[in-house]
Amino acid sequence: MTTASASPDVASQVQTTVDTILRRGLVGLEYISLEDPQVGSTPKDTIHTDGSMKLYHYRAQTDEVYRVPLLVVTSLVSKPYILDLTPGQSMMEFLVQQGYDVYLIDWGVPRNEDSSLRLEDYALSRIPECVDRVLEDSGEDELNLLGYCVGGSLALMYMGTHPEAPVGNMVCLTTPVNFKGMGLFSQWTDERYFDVDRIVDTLGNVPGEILLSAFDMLRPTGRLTSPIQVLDRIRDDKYVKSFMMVDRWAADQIPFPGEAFRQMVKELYWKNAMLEGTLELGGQRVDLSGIDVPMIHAMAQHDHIVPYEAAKPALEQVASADTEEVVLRGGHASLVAGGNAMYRLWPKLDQWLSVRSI
Amino acid sequence: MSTNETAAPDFSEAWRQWATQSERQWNEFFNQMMGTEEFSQSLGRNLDVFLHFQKTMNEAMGSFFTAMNVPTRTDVLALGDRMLAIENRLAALEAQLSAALAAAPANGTNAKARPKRTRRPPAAAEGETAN
Repeated sequence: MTTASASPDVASQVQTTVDTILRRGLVGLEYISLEDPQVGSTPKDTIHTDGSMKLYHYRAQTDEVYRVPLLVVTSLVSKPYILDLTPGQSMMEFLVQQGYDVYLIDWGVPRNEDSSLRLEDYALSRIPECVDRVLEDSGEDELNLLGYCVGGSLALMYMGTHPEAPVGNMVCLTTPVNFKGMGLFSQWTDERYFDVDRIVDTLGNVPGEILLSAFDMLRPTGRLTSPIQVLDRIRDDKYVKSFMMVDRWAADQIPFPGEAFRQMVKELYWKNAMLEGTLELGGQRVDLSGIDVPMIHAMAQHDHIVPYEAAKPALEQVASADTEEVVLRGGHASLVAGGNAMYRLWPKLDQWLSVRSI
Repeated sequence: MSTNETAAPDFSEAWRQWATQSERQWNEFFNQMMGTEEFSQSLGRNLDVFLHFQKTMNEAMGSFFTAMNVPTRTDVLALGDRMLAIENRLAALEAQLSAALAAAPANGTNAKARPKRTRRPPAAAEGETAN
């Protein structure tokens, strides 16, 4: 029989772990108990609004900035603060500190009146007006475009309908193009059983709670195993902090604009129109093969929301010969936020963008 | 019986492996189950029931509030629409004002201090210094 005296290492290990849990637990509790954690706090100014949409300009933190401004198009599915999570773990803060002149489109939380917004309102109206505003504000005649998740798809729709867009380079982060590759989402939106018209006609915007349930169902054990993972790495302050913030972001789900949802389901999920080249917005065909700017697409190895098969074809569709595909360890959120991103994506992004921003 | 010489078993590593494996297996099991046509069909049916209930509730509540002479959700949302229109016009005025201020000659108070747009990537900057 093993006794405590026979295994002093085990005893001390347990003691250390318990001490750490108690000590770190307080740190964890701090994050758990925060009603309104400090997110999206990199200093910025709102330079343009349209309905619930806001265009931010991040304040420079360096004496010199790169000549070409960077416009970030965020996702419609979630709040944009995943890109500006918390000081020290914020992609926006990182980019600003590296000397980029950064602008970001925050679509805002859709209100009832936003239920009539269609994909063309984003790709043909709001993105172009933000592009114009960035050029006007920066005094430059071109910009670089970065899109995250569905934000990347919207940016591609904009590029595919604006062959003369003043965009020098494009960055896509885990951007879906092949919606038949969206795994369970493709299954659940099966045309025979999923009555999208009834959903939008009854509810207007698709409630965040429904979307959150769908995301949770992709990883059914997630709610149970996540706390276990935190306990397992309780000694790692940075991990605990980052985990708590990302977890909070994931639960902070916003509604999806109704008409845009109807269009996404019918055009993108049912017809796979973006990949097939048949997507039309406002009477204009979205022609990805007309996109001829240097492009990088970063994807996550364990992305259960936008799987590799859904994102991979983006670069194959464009005309540009100067493209780069990067597959990094991590998941959908940890690709852009937290410790994972800090050491993997951000340096790569800086390396690729810096020489293309002068 | 264990002795002092026996290396202490790494319980946390064993636990970690077990937890990771179990999670993967359960997720695979559920994902397979939820990836079937039957599941999609059942999901669609449940959604239909929920939407029917929601619609009936909305109509019943609407009639109730009208009878009570209290604004319905639709009335409140209509007010929201009108407020949004005012917000948009204010935003447009604000944008015009900002543009006018930006176009005006800098008098030292309104001019935004902007950094020079001359930054070079570290490698390029080092090369220039070396030359």
